[in-house]
Amino acid sequence: MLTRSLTWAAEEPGCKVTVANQTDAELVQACLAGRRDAFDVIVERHQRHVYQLCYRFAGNHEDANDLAQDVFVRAYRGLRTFKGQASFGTWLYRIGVNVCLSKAAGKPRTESLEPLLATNDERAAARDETAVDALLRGERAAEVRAAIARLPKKQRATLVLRVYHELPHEQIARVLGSSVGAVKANFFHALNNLKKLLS
Amino acid sequence: MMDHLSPAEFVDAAEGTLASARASHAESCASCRERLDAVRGAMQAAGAVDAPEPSPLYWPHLAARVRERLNEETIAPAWRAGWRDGLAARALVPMASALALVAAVFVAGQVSGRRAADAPVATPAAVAMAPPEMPVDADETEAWQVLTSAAAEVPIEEAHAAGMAVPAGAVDRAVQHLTPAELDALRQLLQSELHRAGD
Repeated sequence: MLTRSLTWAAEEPGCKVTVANQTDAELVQACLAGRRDAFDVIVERHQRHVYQLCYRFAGNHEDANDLAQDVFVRAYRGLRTFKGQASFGTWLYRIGVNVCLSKAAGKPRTESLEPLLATNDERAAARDETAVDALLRGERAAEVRAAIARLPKKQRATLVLRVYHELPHEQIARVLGSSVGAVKANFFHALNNLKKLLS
Repeated sequence: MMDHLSPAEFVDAAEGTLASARASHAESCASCRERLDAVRGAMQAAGAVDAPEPSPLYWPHLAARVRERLNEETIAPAWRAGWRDGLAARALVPMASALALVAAVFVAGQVSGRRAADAPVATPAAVAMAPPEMPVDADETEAWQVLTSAAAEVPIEEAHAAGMAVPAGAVDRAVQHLTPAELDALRQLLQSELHRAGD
């Protein structure tokens, strides 16, 4: 991950801190103390998760890229509202889900050819398959992505966070601002709907 | 006979965390078993689809784009964050009222402008709503300046996120809060517009 170091005045002038060892909360404090470069570290730490989350909602790289940038910009603007009660990751997921749901809702979903392209895992699996098997696998993946895109917002968010980000139900509840019971119920309905859409 | 599994219990069963007594019911009840198989199948189908991994060159690009966008940003001061979080909802009704009045003044201005070109007679509505004749309290003016100055700094995107957009029905509710004099002015304005439309 990150090996470079930087220093900033966290609370006391002259306080030297190495970024590589800093927690997210400490980086947030550094940002609030005026160290813009501390936010670079936050971006580097979380960009993969944020991008993957956005990709699950957008379904294509271009929109996922725009959404991921929006998530970080929104997070930066609201850093002062991060109180540290939840983990920074949970807080960022919450912003990510809100950005994705609000932006994706106002925009007709473009089913690009991208979902039809094989991912790394699919390509690796395809090496041991015949061409026909690989094609069927790719088509199936595209079908599943399209079906997930048709799920209601909260169900989609729950499914994405649980299946692809493997967040515990409790953390999903904090991200979505609901109860664990509601998260599980949403997940159940998401899976049921997915099954129907795929059959 | 034992109750069938609840949605949350189906999720727990599919994830292998259901209490053994309930899990044994899921095994013995044909209906629950069938639904559980469907949930597991959907979970498996969703889990089999991976998100494409972008090029390694993408990550520095994303971080650079975020940095670029943040160069024009400042972190919201605490008072503004607090204002957005706490006061936005309380400010909504007065703001909706203000918006309605501003819209009325704007329309009145348009009408009076057009009328001035046709005939040198001001409409009753324009006279009633003209800003110089509106009773203005010094404290209100100061408060209004603080509000407009704060609002001017809030990007439209954040304003929507903070719930500051005028939702459906807000103008109707705002009208219910108008004083008799304001209502009379509004009535005259509408009558004037209806009259003009009928010309």
